[in-house]
Amino acid sequence: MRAKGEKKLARFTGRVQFRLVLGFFALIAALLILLNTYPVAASRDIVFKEKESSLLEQASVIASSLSGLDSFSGDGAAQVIELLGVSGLERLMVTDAAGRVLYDSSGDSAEGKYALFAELVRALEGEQVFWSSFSGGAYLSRAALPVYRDGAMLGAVYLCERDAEQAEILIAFRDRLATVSALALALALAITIIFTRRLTGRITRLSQAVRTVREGNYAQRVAVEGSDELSELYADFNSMTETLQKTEEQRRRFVSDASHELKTPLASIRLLADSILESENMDAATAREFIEDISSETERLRRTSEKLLDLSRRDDGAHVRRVDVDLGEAAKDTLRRLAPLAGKTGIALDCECEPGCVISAPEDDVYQIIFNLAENAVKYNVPGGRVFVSVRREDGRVLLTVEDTGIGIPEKDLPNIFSRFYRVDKARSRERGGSGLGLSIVHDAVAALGGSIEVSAREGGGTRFCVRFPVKAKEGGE
Amino acid sequence: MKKAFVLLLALALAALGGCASRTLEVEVYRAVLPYYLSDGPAVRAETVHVDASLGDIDAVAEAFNSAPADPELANPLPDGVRIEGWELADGELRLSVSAGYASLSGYRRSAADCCLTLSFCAVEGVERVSVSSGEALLTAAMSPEDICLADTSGGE
Repeated sequence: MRAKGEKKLARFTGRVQFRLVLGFFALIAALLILLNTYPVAASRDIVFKEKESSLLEQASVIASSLSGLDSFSGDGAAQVIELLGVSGLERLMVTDAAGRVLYDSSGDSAEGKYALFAELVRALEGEQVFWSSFSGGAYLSRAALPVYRDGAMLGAVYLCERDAEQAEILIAFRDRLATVSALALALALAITIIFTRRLTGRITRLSQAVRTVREGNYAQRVAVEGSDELSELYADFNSMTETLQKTEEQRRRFVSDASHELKTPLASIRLLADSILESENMDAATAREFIEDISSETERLRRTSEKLLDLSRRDDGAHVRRVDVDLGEAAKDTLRRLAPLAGKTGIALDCECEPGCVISAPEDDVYQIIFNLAENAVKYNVPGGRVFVSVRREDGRVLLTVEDTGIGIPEKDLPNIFSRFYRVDKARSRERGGSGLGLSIVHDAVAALGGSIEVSAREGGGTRFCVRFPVKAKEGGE
Repeated sequence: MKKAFVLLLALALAALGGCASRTLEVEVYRAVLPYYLSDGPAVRAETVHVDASLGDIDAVAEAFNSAPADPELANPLPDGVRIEGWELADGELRLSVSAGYASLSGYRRSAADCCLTLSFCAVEGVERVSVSSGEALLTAAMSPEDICLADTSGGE
């Protein structure tokens, strides 16, 4: 129970709000203590100075008057003091050189006694003495001066003054200052609590949002208010969750599409196999046709699986050794391999390549990029159409262009054609053996090589793909 | 023989220890050195340990003659001056001091008189103290009531 309480206390004192409030409180309290102490001390010192000046002056006048007496006695001292009209003192004493009191204004007179106060003794030693204190709601000041005549010491004068009036002014000032300080401290504390609660409240909101995202709710957003650092953090958090949400949606769609793509040929294979098994009197030609279909679907399944594996390998960032590849030679080679396919529909393949367009890349990736683009250009072309491939240097990069005179891609589909399993015309794509992954692979392979790919509609019909590769750096570190 | 030697040694040590611990604490007044005077009385009491075998007045005289242990205090008697004897009659203690006492003047003389009065009037039976040297009376009889050590008029 006790440990639980201690834990709770530690959690409370460890909170940012508590620390901020404590820090501000300590700072303000220190400032207020300074503000309360310094003016009071300064005022007190001013009064001390004033008292020193006035009391010593008074003592000096009395001492000077006493030094003129023919007989330095108690009666003489009393006459002089009466004549001077000295008032406002708590006590006035006159002693002879031995410290014996000759005159004492106090009701509890010490006349005839030996006065051995520090002030008097020091005055009898020849010093001018002043001492003052502020306590008990009054200024208590004492002064003592020696009395000389013709260089010989006659005795000393001792004055004691108690000033409650000036002390009252200082006390009232001190009390007012303390009241104002207490109010200021309370106000500052309240403002600090409000301010820190507002600040930590925003941090808590963000923390709660992070926890929600951690539980899988990527749709979580926090309302951005203001333009301070926390608002920037909120905006970054929202941007991050947006990306997470998009990535998660893409992943789900990919899994769903991949399942579908794998399920469709499997379903066809099963249907065809069941048909063969269930038809007892199937003629050999039909059975052969069914088996050919099974073989075709199996081949499609293999291609899709291979492409998925290829994409997965790229997603994992698998490192493949780079070699120098002449893009022009690779383009010519690829078109030679596609010539039989193009020949079936009478499509002309043209190639225009500048020599020496060398890039540093995995050879298979380069061939895959050119093959996928060129194969699409052939597959989705019109009979008797044309495919034009060019390789040249442009603005310090190597530019590969693949153009066709085919059916083209609608404007609305252009931003999505590099997404996995995205097909412009699903039925037609499947019919022509498309998996919906070719352009995704091209896009990822180009990005891995530090290049860029653009697609646009070609004037006069068809599509144009422009791929830019960084040129291989020359030997010697260029 | 050996046992007797050990017993004798133990007795000697016990006797030595007993002698060493037989001291008396006496309070005597000293003058505060001018450097240390700020406020308060110009004389202050100091506790001195003296031989307990001495009588009360002799013990105070012995203590008074000793040098102060506190560096802020000074013996009010001039150098070489000592309390040489005393006589008590009807509550008045007449102290006999060295002739050098007469050389004291002004408040220093008063301070010495007051220190003697305050120190010896603490002894039972002593009400007043006078100081003489030889046949000459240097200070007439004084009592603690004749001494004012502090000004309490201001409320302190």
